[in-house]
Formats: sequence, structure tokens, C-alpha cells
Amino acid sequence: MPRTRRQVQIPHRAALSLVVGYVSRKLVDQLRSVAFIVGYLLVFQLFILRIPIANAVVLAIGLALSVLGLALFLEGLVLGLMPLGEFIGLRLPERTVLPVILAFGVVLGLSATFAEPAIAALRAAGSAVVPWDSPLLFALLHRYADYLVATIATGVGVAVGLGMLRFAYGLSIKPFVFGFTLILVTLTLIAALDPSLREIIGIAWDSGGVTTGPVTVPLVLALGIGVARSYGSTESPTSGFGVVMLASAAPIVAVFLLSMVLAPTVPRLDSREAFLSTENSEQARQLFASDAQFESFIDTLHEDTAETSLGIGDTLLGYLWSSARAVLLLTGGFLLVLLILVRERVRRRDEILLGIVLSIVGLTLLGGGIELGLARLGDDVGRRLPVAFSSMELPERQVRIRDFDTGVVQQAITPDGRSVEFFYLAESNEFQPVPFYPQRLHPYSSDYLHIPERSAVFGGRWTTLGQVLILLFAFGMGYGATLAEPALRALGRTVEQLTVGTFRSDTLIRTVSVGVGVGLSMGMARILWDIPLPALLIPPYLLLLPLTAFSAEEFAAIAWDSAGVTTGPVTVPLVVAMGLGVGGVVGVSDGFGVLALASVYPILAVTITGIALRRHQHLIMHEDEKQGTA
Amino acid sequence: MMRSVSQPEGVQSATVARITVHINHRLSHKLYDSLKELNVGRFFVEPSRMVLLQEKKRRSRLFARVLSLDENPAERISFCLPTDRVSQVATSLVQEFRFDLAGRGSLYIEHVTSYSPGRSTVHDSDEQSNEEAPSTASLDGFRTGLTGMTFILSNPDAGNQVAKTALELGVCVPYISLGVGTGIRDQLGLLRVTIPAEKEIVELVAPDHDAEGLLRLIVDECRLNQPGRGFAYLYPIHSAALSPRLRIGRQEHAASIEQIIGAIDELRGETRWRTRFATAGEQSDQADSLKRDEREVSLICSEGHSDSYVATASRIGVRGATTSKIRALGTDADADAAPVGVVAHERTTMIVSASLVESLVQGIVKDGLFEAENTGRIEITDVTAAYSYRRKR
Repeated sequence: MPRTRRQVQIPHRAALSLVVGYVSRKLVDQLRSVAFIVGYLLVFQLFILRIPIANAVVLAIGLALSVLGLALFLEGLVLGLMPLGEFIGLRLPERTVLPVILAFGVVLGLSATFAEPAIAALRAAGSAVVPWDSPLLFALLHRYADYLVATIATGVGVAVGLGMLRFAYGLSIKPFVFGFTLILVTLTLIAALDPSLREIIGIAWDSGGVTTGPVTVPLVLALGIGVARSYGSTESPTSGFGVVMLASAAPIVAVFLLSMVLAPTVPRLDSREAFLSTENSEQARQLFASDAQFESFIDTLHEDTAETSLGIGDTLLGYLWSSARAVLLLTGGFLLVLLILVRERVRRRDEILLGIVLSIVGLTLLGGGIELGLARLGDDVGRRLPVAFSSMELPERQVRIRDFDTGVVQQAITPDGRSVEFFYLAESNEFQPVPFYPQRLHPYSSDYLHIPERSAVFGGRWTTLGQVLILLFAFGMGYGATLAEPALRALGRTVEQLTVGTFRSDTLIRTVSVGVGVGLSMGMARILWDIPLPALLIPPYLLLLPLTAFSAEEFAAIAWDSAGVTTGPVTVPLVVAMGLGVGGVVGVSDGFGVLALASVYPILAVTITGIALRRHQHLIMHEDEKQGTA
Repeated sequence: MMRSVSQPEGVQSATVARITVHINHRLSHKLYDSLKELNVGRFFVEPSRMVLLQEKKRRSRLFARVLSLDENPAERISFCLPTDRVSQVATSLVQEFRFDLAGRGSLYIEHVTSYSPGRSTVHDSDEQSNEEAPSTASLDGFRTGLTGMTFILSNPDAGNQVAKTALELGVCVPYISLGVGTGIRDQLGLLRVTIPAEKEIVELVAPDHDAEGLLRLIVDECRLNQPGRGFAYLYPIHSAALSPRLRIGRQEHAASIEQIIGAIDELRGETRWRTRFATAGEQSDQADSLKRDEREVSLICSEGHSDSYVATASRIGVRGATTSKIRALGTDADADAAPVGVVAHERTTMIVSASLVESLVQGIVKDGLFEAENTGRIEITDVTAAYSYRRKR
């Protein structure tokens, strides 16, 4: 057992200087990581969409909390969670038998899904889904929400178990990649051909990305590295990767299978009228878990429910609960294994404890900060984004014109002979023609509600240019948000350490970010032009098969793992806001599929980078032949 | 040569040859297979990177040449052999892996005193007594008159800075690996988290007569003469096959400068003709700051167990240690080719005053290095000079 070392007391001034230096280094690092996305969103909002910033103080507080949260959370991962995961991974094969390790993997996968529930992100992406358009999708998110969570959890559990099995026998990641890809492509094609299943393709694919949360990924990664080091069967220092990929793929298969089982049981009511009619009431209720849920949904259809905005304190309290649940549930499981199976004192216990506390505080501040800052900014830009190609109402600038005299309303005619009404509004010495909508005139008070409209940045024949602007915006947003993703930073750091700096963390982060940017652009293209999701998802996956076969084992595992880390707490809220904003204007009800596209292109980007690096290594080794001096 | 340490009970010690191979990652699996075929017993592997200078095509007349560092994955593989087997194994590896070609790697041989438990190939077949001098016969095709230089650096990216200086000075291809430092940092309580523990370890090989001069130059260039930057030490190398090409990319002449130097070395049969520094004593005051009577003690144990031995070392008076994660591969010689049980290992390196070595070895052995794990071992080698920052009085 390690002996207690003697402590060295250093003067308070020196200690303070050490702490200040350390904190400022960490903060500056994170400031750099969020600078791009914040600057990008601000420039877009202020100069391109020309929308003023509301609640600048809350926004600034939110951004500051995000930076602080990111710094604390990452430090917590590095000091506590990852060393704990790696230590247990290292010791388990020495202390116990393979079936116990597999069982631990399955339980870890199951608890990860409950610790970091993906259902919230899926519900957000499907918040505009209506039961008459997509009954199965609606039922999955409401009546069968528990089934969905349990299915995803089972998928992740099986995946982590498979990952452990792979390390124990030193199996290559490639057969798993090929197997899962072929199964997923087949399932997607089956679903695409079946009208009752078509609607769930997006949610199935997205469930893979969102299950791997910011606490699960680093823990599973560290555990895998520990177990792989301990078994050492593949004799490669980077053989610990690959579990995140499995944990992303298996839930997709599981959700497809669940949907196939449930599809025949879900009633189809093809219109809002059919859904609301009393004779179909019994069938409509089958889409909900309870009558109360059904009644509540009916109420929301009849009245606009304004989103209640919580104060900073309440927001942080909410995140404290979810962060503590995620970190404590997962590390609690690890600590139990440490006590029961490993039965050994972990190194530097005080650092690990500090790491766990920092992770909870960091994740709380990060979640709260993103909701108050980045998500709000992203939401403002995302929901207004369609103004790039289409005119939009600005409800926050609405004006109530008292005692509106209908005598000022005039007639105009459209080229097709339709008659429209308008009136002149005098504002700041300017007279502006404004369309008149009779339904906005209050029947008793004669007040008229005027909602200003913002004309399209690129309207008319320039609409396509406006749509291209959206694709460009999506690219930059995906790139910038991914630069700040904590799980990706943890992956980058691990890759850099295991490759002794030959694959730099920055290279990986930037490559993945470019991939996410391309993926988000594709996602927006799908929404804008209503391209079927399989048409955008299947080709890159099929292209990945030969590329993976050609790439080195370690790069293949890193590339496929990077798919799981892209969809984290920074990217998801921004993507959902943007998907819903654009989808709402073009009439696409769900934002599903965008996250799945944001996962596949990073794999492609990292695989191509890996192949380029491998080719470079080959050229170095054959330099003498090239120079003719051998 | 090292003074022998009195041998603790139940422990076998011998002077053996330690072969270290730095190999391009793409050749590492082939090397594992060769080592298994050559029956070298257990070998220890850790990831490293090989750094070369890359000369890029000239883009404009304004920037005549662009030199950048090219980092490639490599592995550092080390194992010990009885001195009578060195020639066969080293020659076979050099012939198979052609270290004379660019970008493949380097191999060097040192003599170390090794302590290990029980029976092993290394010690069983070693017919020499502890006191007997090892064979010093030079091997065909190997260079002699060389000194190993190890830099243990605290600042991130300092490894590349030392590597670049070494490459620009034409020393050799540098190899960098990672480690974690323990020492004064661990006595600060939780405040230690404010000081990064990660170290970069740079390994170089230089001609004997230039080694101290180069050490001083690199210390100056890379500002290792500032507090907290790291330390460096030199140790004798018996013979080596070094990677010839320090620079890749555009070559303007029929042979690179390193190839010309190599050819002249071979013709003259020695390297003294290219002495570029005055003798150590005539140089700057840094010569005074070099410690002479030191030893490098390497401790190998299964991963996670080095802490207690480092704590013991600290009690005895050792100021710091650097621990690297390594993997133990190969087979135990007396286990019928069964693979090594625990793969994950650690190598802890300490630079220790010669007077402390005996009590350190006794302390570690008493702590149960050889009882708890049959893979534990200690390797001790001479340090001809060690440099670390010392506050000026």
C-alpha cells in the first residue's frame, strides 16, 4: 500500500498564484473553444439577419457560465471520471472473469441511458410532431416513451457488453462496423419502403447519437482503454476505442425493431379533423399513455401555450439535479464495482473526489449557461433563419393600434386578379404600406393587432441564394458548436495521449467539427428541399465501408467513435432550434435526422484524415526508395 | 563501470545488455513477431513519436525553404539479454529491419545491472558472475563511442523544441515518449492539481565527445536552465544502429549531410574528427552544475503499483521519479511460451545518487516488488552527467 507522503507547506501567496495561473489557463482554453460559435451567431444575428439582441445581460451571464462550466467539467473528467474509469477497466480483467465484465458492461450501458436520458433531446426535436401526420412517431414519443427509453438502454447495454467482449478477444472493430452498417442500411431501406415506418427513420438514427452523453462517453472511453490495456490482446496502444461507436449503433437497431413491433398496433388517423372527431376518440386515445395526457394534448391544440421562462436560479437548480443524477449514478456504479469486485484503493482518491464534484458543478453551469446563453442565441437565430429566403412575422415587435378606423383600409389587386387589403402605417415620419388582416381586428374594442413582417434577405428569384445561405450558416454553426463539445475534447485528449501527439487533439477536433458542419448542412438541405433521409444517410455509410476496410485499425475505431461524441450538450439545442425554425416555415414537422447526419460526416472526415496520415507514414518509410539512395 | 550492490535475499542480479529499439509504428507488429521468434523472453513496449525535419517545396523566392517538424507514430521496445546473445539478436534485427533506411527506427545497446525475481532467460543463461565485466566486443555494422541523452521535460510541447534543436544540430533522430512526474508536486496536497504532471521524455544518441557540449547547448536553447522546466542526463551506450536520415522531403544533393558524415565515420572508424565543442571543463559554468556520480534506476512493475515504491524512494531521499505506461509482451522463458499474464505495466525512472542506490534497491525489494509480481524488475545504469536547474547562490 502507498505510504502517506509528507506534506510540503507552501506560502499562501505562492499557493494563490498557482491556483490563479491554473484557473486562468483553463478558462482561456474554454474561452477559445466557445469564441467561434458565439462570435458566429452574433455576427449572423446582428449583421445578416439584423435582429437586435434581447436580454443582453442574461445572455452574457449565460455565456460566462458556459465557459466556466466547460472548464470545470473538463477538469472534472480529467481528474476524476476518466482516471476512475481507466483504473477499473485495468483491474477488472485481473480480478474477475469475463462473464462478470460483460455483465458490468451491460449494466453500465443500461444505467448510462437512465443517467443521461436522451428522451428529452428526442422530445425537443419532435415537439412539433402531430399525431395525424406521424402517428407511430407520436406514439413513440408519448405513449411508448418508456418503451423507447428501455429499448435505447438495452441497445447501449448490449453495445458496451459487446465492446468488452471485443477487447477480451482482441477482435478488430471492422467486422462490427461492417455488420452494423449493413444491418442499419437494410433496416432503413425496409422502413423507407413501408409507409407506416417511414416516419421513424429519423428518430431511430438520432437515438444513436443522443444516447452517448457527455458523462457516458468519457467514462466508457476510459473504461475501454483500461480493459484493452489490461487484456493487451491486440498489442496496440490505441485498441481501447470502439465502444462509443457500438453504443451509438446498437440503439438505432433496437429502435427500428421496436418500431416494427409497434407499427401494426398504432391507429392511423390521417387528418386533424379525423383525430379530433368524437367517433375516433377511442383510437386517438391509443396514442397516449393516459387519458390525462390525451386531454392535456387536446388543450394545447386549442390554445397557444407560451413557453415559461425560468429564472437563472431555477434553471441552475434543474441542471444541478440532472447533472448530479448523471454523474453520481454512473460513478456510483463504478465505485460499487471498485469496492465489491476490484477491492483495491484507487490512486489519488482526493483528486478523484474533486473531479466528481467538479464534474457535477461544471455540468450544472454548462447546462444552465447554454440554456441562458448559447441556446437562446441559437434559438433567436435558428427560428429567424428562414428570413434568409422567406418573409417572417416578428411577433415580439407587435403593436396594438387603438380605435382602428377601418376607413383607412384600401384595396389592391394581385397579378392573378385576387383582391387584397392594405393600409398605410406612419412610423417615424415614414409611410409604409402594410397588409390588412380582418381577423386581427378586435371585434369589440376595435383595436388592431399589427405584427410587423421582415422581408426575406434573399426573396423572389433569389430564394435559392437564401437557402444556400442557410446551408452555409448550418455549416458554420455545426463547426463552431462542435469545437466546444466537452466529450469531443475528452476524446481528443485521449487520442493525443495514446498516440504520443502524432494525432493531435486539435486535428481531431477540427476534423470532426468540419464533419459536423457538413452533416448539418445536409440536414438543412433535407428539411429545405424535403429530401428523404435515407438518400442522404445511406450513401455516406456505404462509402465508409471500403474506406474503413482500407484504413488502419486504430484510425477506424477513433473515426467511428467520433460519431458518438458529436451530439452533446452544446450542439443539440442549437441543432433542434435551427431544425424546428426552418422546418416550421417549409412545413416539415420534425427535426429528426439532422443529428444522425451530423454523426456520419465526422466519421467520413476522420477516416479520410486517418488514411492521409497513414499514406504519409508510408511515404516516410519509403523515402530512401523515392530518393533512389537505398 | 557500476559498483555492484549487495544482493538482497531471493533476488538475482546480473550485468546484462539492454537493447532498446525505436521502431516505426508500421513495423512494430513485425518486430514483435521477430522478437518472439528470437526467443528474447519478455519485452516492454511503449508508444512514442519519431520526429524528423521536413523540408517543404519552396513556395516563393522570399521563403527559400520551409522547415517543419514531421511527427510519426513509433514504439519504444526494450528488453534485456545475456551479453553473449546480444550479437546474434541485434545483428538479426538490424538485418531484418534495415535501420540504415530512412524513417524505420534506431537500435542501441547498453550494459545494465538487472535485478529480477526467480528464474528467467536473462539471468539463467548468464554465465557471468555479478562482478564480471560484460563483453565489450563491437558488433559489425554498429557504431560505437556513443552516449545516450535523455531529457525529461515539464512544459507541453517542450519535447518538440528539444527535438527540433537536436535535428538542426544534426545529432540524431529524436524519439519522444510520455510520462508522469512524481516528486515535490505530490507533497503539495490537492494543490498539486494546479501543476501538470505530464512529462515529455526525449531520447537522443550523440558521439561521446560531443555529448556534454550538445547537452549544454540544448539546455541553453530550450531554457532548461529555468526553474521547473525539466532535467537531462547522459549515459553510456555500447553500440548502436541509428536512423541515418534526419530530414525528409526535398533533397538538393546526391546525399544528405547525415549520410556524408556517416560515410566518413565509417572510413575513419571513429567519430572524434567531428568534435565541435571544447572539453566540458573549458566551457561555461554549466559544467559545474553537472552531477557526475549518479545512476539511472528503472523500475518495472505491473501498472498501478509503482506509487508505493516511489514513496519508498522518496523516504530514502530520491527527489523525483517519472513513470511511463508500458506493455509487457512476449513470453516467459520458463512458462512453455505462455503469454505474459498482466500486460499493463509501468516503468519508473529515477536519477539517484550512487550512494543511495543500495538502500533504494533494498527498500524496493523489502516493499515486495519481487514477491507481489513476478514481472517486477530493476535495471541500473551509470549516468555520466546529469543536469537539473539549481538556484544560484
